[in-house]
Amino acid sequence: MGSFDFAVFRLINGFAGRYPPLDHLAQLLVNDYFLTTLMSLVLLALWFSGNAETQRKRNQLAVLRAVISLLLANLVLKGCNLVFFRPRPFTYNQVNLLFYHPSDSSLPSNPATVGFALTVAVWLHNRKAGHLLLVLAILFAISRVYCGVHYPLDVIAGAGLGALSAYIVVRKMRFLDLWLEKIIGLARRICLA
Amino acid sequence: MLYFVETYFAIHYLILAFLASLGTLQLVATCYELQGLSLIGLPRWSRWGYILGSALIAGGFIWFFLNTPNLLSPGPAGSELMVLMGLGTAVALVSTLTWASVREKIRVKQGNPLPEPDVNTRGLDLLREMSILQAWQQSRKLTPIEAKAHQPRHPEVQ
Repeated sequence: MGSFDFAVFRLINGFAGRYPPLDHLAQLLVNDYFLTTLMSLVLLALWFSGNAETQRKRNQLAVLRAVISLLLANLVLKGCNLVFFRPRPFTYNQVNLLFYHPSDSSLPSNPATVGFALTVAVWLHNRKAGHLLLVLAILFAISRVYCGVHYPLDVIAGAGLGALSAYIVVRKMRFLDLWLEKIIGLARRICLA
Repeated sequence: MLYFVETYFAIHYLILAFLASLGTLQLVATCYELQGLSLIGLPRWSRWGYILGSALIAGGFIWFFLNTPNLLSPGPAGSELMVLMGLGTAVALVSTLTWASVREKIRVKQGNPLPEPDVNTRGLDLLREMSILQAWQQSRKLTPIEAKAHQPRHPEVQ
Protein backbone atom coordinates (compact mmCIF):
# COMPACT_ATOMS: atom_id res chain seq x y z
CA MET A 1 0.00 0.00 0.00
CA GLY A 2 2.82 2.35 0.98
CA SER A 3 4.75 1.73 -2.22
CA PHE A 4 1.62 2.20 -4.35
CA ASP A 5 0.91 5.42 -2.46
CA PHE A 6 4.46 6.61 -3.12
CA ALA A 7 4.23 5.62 -6.82
CA VAL A 8 1.05 7.68 -7.29
CA PHE A 9 2.67 10.54 -5.38
CA ARG A 10 5.70 10.40 -7.69
CA LEU A 11 3.41 10.38 -10.74
CA ILE A 12 1.49 13.51 -9.68
CA ASN A 13 4.41 15.37 -8.08
CA GLY A 14 6.56 14.55 -11.10
CA PHE A 15 4.71 17.19 -13.13
CA ALA A 16 5.77 19.93 -10.69
CA GLY A 17 8.55 22.14 -11.96
CA ARG A 18 8.00 21.18 -15.60
CA TYR A 19 5.31 23.63 -16.65
CA PRO A 20 5.59 27.05 -14.94
CA PRO A 21 1.94 28.09 -15.62
CA LEU A 22 0.73 24.84 -14.04
CA ASP A 23 3.03 25.44 -11.05
CA HIS A 24 1.64 28.95 -10.58
CA LEU A 25 -1.91 27.60 -10.74
CA ALA A 26 -1.06 24.88 -8.21
CA GLN A 27 0.54 27.46 -5.89
CA LEU A 28 -2.60 29.56 -6.10
CA LEU A 29 -4.75 26.55 -5.23
CA VAL A 30 -2.48 25.09 -2.56
CA ASN A 31 -2.12 28.16 -0.34
CA ASP A 32 -4.28 28.51 2.75
CA TYR A 33 -6.30 31.48 1.50
CA PHE A 34 -7.72 31.06 -2.00
CA LEU A 35 -9.89 27.94 -1.88
CA THR A 36 -10.78 28.27 1.80
CA THR A 37 -12.08 31.79 1.17
CA LEU A 38 -14.00 30.64 -1.91
CA MET A 39 -15.61 27.85 0.13
CA SER A 40 -16.63 30.35 2.80
CA LEU A 41 -18.19 32.53 0.11
CA VAL A 42 -20.21 29.57 -1.18
CA LEU A 43 -21.57 29.08 2.35
CA LEU A 44 -22.39 32.80 2.63
CA ALA A 45 -24.24 32.72 -0.71
CA LEU A 46 -26.05 29.55 0.29
CA TRP A 47 -27.41 31.17 3.47
CA PHE A 48 -29.31 33.79 1.45
CA SER A 49 -30.20 31.50 -1.49
CA GLY A 50 -33.62 30.11 -2.25
CA ASN A 51 -36.88 31.47 -3.60
CA ALA A 52 -39.18 29.83 -1.09
CA GLU A 53 -38.82 29.86 2.68
CA THR A 54 -38.57 26.04 2.92
CA GLN A 55 -35.84 25.96 0.30
CA ARG A 56 -33.95 28.71 2.12
CA LYS A 57 -34.34 26.95 5.44
CA ARG A 58 -32.83 23.79 3.99
CA ASN A 59 -29.87 25.81 2.72
CA GLN A 60 -29.45 27.52 6.07
CA LEU A 61 -29.48 24.18 7.87
CA ALA A 62 -26.81 23.06 5.40
CA VAL A 63 -24.61 26.02 6.32
CA LEU A 64 -24.99 25.51 10.06
CA ARG A 65 -24.40 21.77 9.80
CA ALA A 66 -21.36 22.37 7.58
CA VAL A 67 -19.83 24.59 10.27
CA ILE A 68 -20.53 21.95 12.96
CA SER A 69 -19.07 19.24 10.69
CA LEU A 70 -15.97 21.36 10.30
CA LEU A 71 -15.60 21.65 14.08
CA LEU A 72 -16.14 17.92 14.61
CA ALA A 73 -13.71 16.99 11.83
CA ASN A 74 -11.06 19.30 13.29
CA LEU A 75 -11.55 17.77 16.73
CA VAL A 76 -11.06 14.23 15.37
CA LEU A 77 -8.11 15.46 13.30
CA LYS A 78 -6.38 16.84 16.40
CA GLY A 79 -6.98 13.52 18.14
CA CYS A 80 -5.47 11.61 15.20
CA ASN A 81 -2.42 13.89 15.22
CA LEU A 82 -1.89 13.17 18.93
CA VAL A 83 -1.71 9.40 18.49
CA PHE A 84 -0.31 9.06 14.99
CA PHE A 85 2.44 10.77 13.03
CA ARG A 86 3.38 10.23 9.41
CA PRO A 87 6.33 12.21 8.06
CA ARG A 88 5.76 14.49 5.08
CA PRO A 89 6.88 13.26 1.63
CA PHE A 90 9.81 15.70 1.60
CA THR A 91 11.17 14.49 4.96
CA TYR A 92 13.01 11.44 3.63
CA ASN A 93 12.62 11.82 -0.15
CA GLN A 94 13.68 14.15 -2.89
CA VAL A 95 10.44 15.80 -4.07
CA ASN A 96 9.46 18.80 -6.18
CA LEU A 97 8.37 21.05 -3.35
CA LEU A 98 6.32 24.11 -4.33
CA PHE A 99 5.15 25.00 -0.83
CA TYR A 100 6.63 25.63 2.62
CA HIS A 101 7.57 22.78 5.01
CA PRO A 102 4.56 22.00 7.20
CA SER A 103 5.70 20.31 10.42
CA ASP A 104 2.53 18.48 11.49
CA SER A 105 1.55 14.92 10.57
CA SER A 106 1.04 14.25 6.88
CA LEU A 107 -1.86 11.86 7.50
CA PRO A 108 -4.71 12.76 7.47
CA SER A 109 -4.54 15.87 5.30
CA ASN A 110 -6.03 18.93 7.06
CA PRO A 111 -7.20 20.72 3.88
CA ALA A 112 -8.85 17.56 2.52
CA THR A 113 -10.61 17.02 5.87
CA VAL A 114 -11.88 20.61 5.95
CA GLY A 115 -12.86 20.64 2.27
CA PHE A 116 -14.76 17.35 2.33
CA ALA A 117 -16.47 18.04 5.67
CA LEU A 118 -17.98 21.20 4.17
CA THR A 119 -18.70 19.54 0.83
CA VAL A 120 -20.54 16.49 2.15
CA ALA A 121 -22.54 18.49 4.71
CA VAL A 122 -23.76 20.82 1.96
CA TRP A 123 -24.16 18.07 -0.65
CA LEU A 124 -26.58 16.18 1.61
CA HIS A 125 -28.89 19.23 1.49
CA ASN A 126 -28.21 20.92 -1.83
CA ARG A 127 -26.69 18.96 -4.73
CA LYS A 128 -25.83 21.99 -6.89
CA ALA A 129 -23.86 23.81 -4.20
CA GLY A 130 -22.43 20.45 -3.09
CA HIS A 131 -21.02 19.79 -6.56
CA LEU A 132 -19.44 23.23 -6.65
CA LEU A 133 -17.78 22.63 -3.28
CA LEU A 134 -16.73 19.15 -4.42
CA VAL A 135 -14.78 20.64 -7.34
CA LEU A 136 -13.03 23.07 -4.96
CA ALA A 137 -12.27 20.31 -2.43
CA ILE A 138 -10.82 18.00 -5.11
CA LEU A 139 -8.66 20.84 -6.49
CA PHE A 140 -7.45 21.57 -2.95
CA ALA A 141 -6.58 17.89 -2.37
CA ILE A 142 -4.80 17.33 -5.71
CA SER A 143 -2.80 20.55 -5.41
CA ARG A 144 -1.41 19.36 -2.06
CA VAL A 145 -0.02 16.22 -3.70
CA TYR A 146 1.18 18.11 -6.79
CA CYS A 147 3.07 20.60 -4.61
CA GLY A 148 4.74 17.81 -2.61
CA VAL A 149 3.25 18.27 0.87
CA HIS A 150 0.95 15.23 1.04
CA TYR A 151 0.81 11.63 -0.16
CA PRO A 152 -2.35 10.61 -2.04
CA LEU A 153 -3.34 8.38 0.89
CA ASP A 154 -3.23 11.42 3.21
CA VAL A 155 -5.80 13.30 1.17
CA ILE A 156 -7.97 10.19 0.76
CA ALA A 157 -7.91 9.65 4.54
CA GLY A 158 -8.65 13.35 5.10
CA ALA A 159 -11.53 13.24 2.63
CA GLY A 160 -12.93 10.16 4.35
CA LEU A 161 -12.63 11.73 7.78
CA GLY A 162 -14.29 14.95 6.63
CA ALA A 163 -17.08 13.11 4.83
CA LEU A 164 -17.72 10.84 7.81
CA SER A 165 -17.87 13.82 10.21
CA ALA A 166 -20.38 15.55 7.93
CA TYR A 167 -22.48 12.40 7.59
CA ILE A 168 -22.61 11.98 11.38
CA VAL A 169 -23.58 15.61 11.93
CA VAL A 170 -26.26 15.65 9.22
CA ARG A 171 -27.78 12.20 9.63
CA LYS A 172 -27.07 11.13 13.19
CA MET A 173 -26.95 14.27 15.34
CA ARG A 174 -30.65 15.11 15.04
CA PHE A 175 -30.71 16.39 18.62
CA LEU A 176 -29.01 19.52 17.27
CA ASP A 177 -31.96 20.35 15.01
CA LEU A 178 -33.92 22.13 17.74
CA TRP A 179 -31.01 24.49 18.36
CA LEU A 180 -30.31 25.01 14.69
CA GLU A 181 -33.95 25.87 14.05
CA LYS A 182 -33.84 28.30 16.95
CA ILE A 183 -30.82 30.03 15.39
CA ILE A 184 -32.60 30.24 12.01
CA GLY A 185 -35.79 31.46 13.71
CA LEU A 186 -33.83 34.19 15.49
CA ALA A 187 -32.19 35.24 12.22
CA ARG A 188 -35.60 35.25 10.54
CA ARG A 189 -36.97 37.59 13.20
CA ILE A 190 -34.33 40.15 12.27
CA CYS A 191 -34.98 39.52 8.53
CA LEU A 192 -31.66 37.76 7.94
CA ALA A 193 -33.01 34.28 7.21
CA MET B 1 -6.80 35.81 20.08
CA LEU B 2 -4.66 36.20 16.96
CA TYR B 3 -1.30 34.61 17.89
CA PHE B 4 0.23 33.55 14.61
CA VAL B 5 -0.92 36.29 12.31
CA GLU B 6 0.93 39.56 11.72
CA THR B 7 -0.99 42.85 11.76
CA TYR B 8 -0.44 43.65 8.09
CA PHE B 9 -1.61 40.18 7.11
CA ALA B 10 -4.72 40.39 9.29
CA ILE B 11 -5.62 43.74 7.68
CA HIS B 12 -5.01 42.41 4.16
CA TYR B 13 -7.08 39.29 4.76
CA LEU B 14 -9.86 41.34 6.38
CA ILE B 15 -10.00 43.54 3.28
CA LEU B 16 -10.18 40.43 1.06
CA ALA B 17 -12.95 38.93 3.23
CA PHE B 18 -14.84 42.24 3.22
CA LEU B 19 -14.65 42.81 -0.55
CA ALA B 20 -15.36 39.20 -1.50
CA SER B 21 -18.31 38.97 0.93
CA LEU B 22 -19.67 42.28 -0.36
CA GLY B 23 -19.45 40.90 -3.90
CA THR B 24 -21.11 37.61 -2.94
CA LEU B 25 -23.96 39.49 -1.26
CA GLN B 26 -24.46 41.51 -4.46
CA LEU B 27 -24.64 38.35 -6.57
CA VAL B 28 -27.19 36.79 -4.21
CA ALA B 29 -29.20 40.02 -3.92
CA THR B 30 -29.37 40.31 -7.71
CA CYS B 31 -30.17 36.63 -8.25
CA TYR B 32 -33.01 36.55 -5.68
CA GLU B 33 -34.09 40.20 -6.13
CA LEU B 34 -33.38 41.22 -2.55
CA GLN B 35 -33.70 45.00 -2.62
CA GLY B 36 -32.58 45.32 1.01
CA LEU B 37 -29.28 43.56 0.29
CA SER B 38 -28.48 45.40 -2.91
CA LEU B 39 -25.97 48.24 -3.08
CA ILE B 40 -27.30 49.69 -6.31
CA GLY B 41 -31.03 49.00 -6.08
CA LEU B 42 -33.15 46.62 -8.11
CA PRO B 43 -34.59 45.72 -10.52
CA ARG B 44 -33.56 48.52 -12.89
CA TRP B 45 -29.88 47.84 -12.43
CA SER B 46 -30.02 44.06 -12.12
CA ARG B 47 -27.35 43.41 -14.75
CA TRP B 48 -25.04 45.79 -12.92
CA GLY B 49 -25.57 43.80 -9.72
CA TYR B 50 -23.89 40.78 -11.29
CA ILE B 51 -21.11 42.91 -12.76
CA LEU B 52 -20.51 44.73 -9.46
CA GLY B 53 -20.57 41.48 -7.46
CA SER B 54 -18.13 39.69 -9.76
CA ALA B 55 -15.84 42.73 -9.88
CA LEU B 56 -15.75 43.01 -6.09
CA ILE B 57 -14.88 39.32 -5.66
CA ALA B 58 -12.25 39.30 -8.42
CA GLY B 59 -10.87 42.67 -7.28
CA GLY B 60 -10.56 41.47 -3.69
CA PHE B 61 -8.61 38.35 -4.66
CA ILE B 62 -6.38 40.16 -7.17
CA TRP B 63 -5.59 42.90 -4.66
CA PHE B 64 -4.82 40.39 -1.90
CA PHE B 65 -2.58 38.14 -4.00
CA LEU B 66 -0.68 41.04 -5.56
CA ASN B 67 -0.13 42.97 -2.35
CA THR B 68 0.44 40.32 0.32
CA PRO B 69 3.99 38.94 0.51
CA ASN B 70 4.97 35.46 1.79
CA LEU B 71 1.74 33.72 0.88
CA LEU B 72 3.59 30.44 0.49
CA SER B 73 5.12 30.55 3.95
CA PRO B 74 3.57 29.48 7.29
CA GLY B 75 0.65 31.77 8.04
CA PRO B 76 -2.22 32.06 10.48
CA ALA B 77 -3.93 29.07 12.06
CA GLY B 78 -7.21 27.87 10.55
CA SER B 79 -9.17 29.21 13.51
CA GLU B 80 -7.61 32.64 13.05
CA LEU B 81 -8.58 32.65 9.38
CA MET B 82 -12.13 31.72 10.39
CA VAL B 83 -12.28 34.65 12.83
CA LEU B 84 -10.96 37.08 10.21
CA MET B 85 -13.33 35.75 7.54
CA GLY B 86 -16.30 35.99 9.94
CA LEU B 87 -15.36 39.55 10.87
CA GLY B 88 -14.97 40.62 7.23
CA THR B 89 -18.31 39.04 6.34
CA ALA B 90 -20.08 40.67 9.27
CA VAL B 91 -18.73 44.11 8.33
CA ALA B 92 -19.74 43.56 4.69
CA LEU B 93 -23.26 42.53 5.71
CA VAL B 94 -23.74 45.48 8.06
CA SER B 95 -22.35 47.90 5.45
CA THR B 96 -24.66 46.54 2.75
CA LEU B 97 -27.75 46.66 4.96
CA THR B 98 -26.91 50.20 6.11
CA TRP B 99 -26.24 51.45 2.58
CA ALA B 100 -29.48 49.92 1.27
CA SER B 101 -31.43 51.43 4.19
CA VAL B 102 -30.07 54.92 3.48
CA ARG B 103 -30.83 54.53 -0.24
CA GLU B 104 -34.38 53.37 0.39
CA LYS B 105 -34.99 56.15 2.93
CA ILE B 106 -33.93 58.71 0.35
CA ARG B 107 -36.20 57.04 -2.20
CA VAL B 108 -39.19 57.28 0.16
CA LYS B 109 -38.35 60.93 0.92
CA GLN B 110 -38.39 61.62 -2.80
CA GLY B 111 -42.05 60.62 -2.84
CA ASN B 112 -41.88 56.92 -3.69
CA PRO B 113 -44.32 55.16 -1.35
CA LEU B 114 -43.17 52.23 0.77
CA PRO B 115 -44.83 49.03 -0.52
CA GLU B 116 -47.24 47.27 1.83
CA PRO B 117 -45.97 43.71 2.22
CA ASP B 118 -48.34 40.77 2.30
CA VAL B 119 -49.22 39.85 5.88
CA ASN B 120 -47.59 36.44 5.43
CA THR B 121 -44.35 37.89 4.15
CA ARG B 122 -41.65 37.61 6.77
CA GLY B 123 -37.95 37.17 7.31
CA LEU B 124 -35.64 37.64 4.36
CA ASP B 125 -38.62 37.87 1.97
CA LEU B 126 -39.35 41.34 3.38
CA LEU B 127 -36.02 42.50 1.94
CA ARG B 128 -37.36 41.91 -1.58
CA GLU B 129 -39.43 45.09 -1.27
CA MET B 130 -37.75 47.21 1.37
CA SER B 131 -34.61 47.78 3.40
CA ILE B 132 -33.96 46.03 6.70
CA LEU B 133 -34.62 49.26 8.60
CA GLN B 134 -38.01 49.67 6.94
CA ALA B 135 -38.78 45.99 7.62
CA TRP B 136 -37.99 46.42 11.30
CA GLN B 137 -40.09 49.61 11.47
CA GLN B 138 -42.92 47.83 9.70
CA SER B 139 -42.87 44.90 12.13
CA ARG B 140 -42.82 47.29 15.11
CA LYS B 141 -45.99 48.98 13.82
CA LEU B 142 -47.91 45.68 13.70
CA THR B 143 -50.59 45.00 16.28
CA PRO B 144 -50.14 41.82 18.38
CA ILE B 145 -52.79 40.02 16.23
CA GLU B 146 -51.01 40.98 13.03
CA ALA B 147 -47.69 40.05 14.54
CA LYS B 148 -49.12 36.64 15.37
CA ALA B 149 -50.04 36.25 11.71
CA HIS B 150 -46.35 36.66 10.92
CA GLN B 151 -45.48 33.63 13.01
CA PRO B 152 -45.26 30.25 11.26
CA ARG B 153 -48.57 28.41 11.44
CA HIS B 154 -47.16 24.95 11.18
CA PRO B 155 -43.75 23.85 12.39
CA GLU B 156 -41.72 23.01 9.32
CA VAL B 157 -40.66 19.42 9.19
CA GLN B 158 -37.39 18.76 7.45
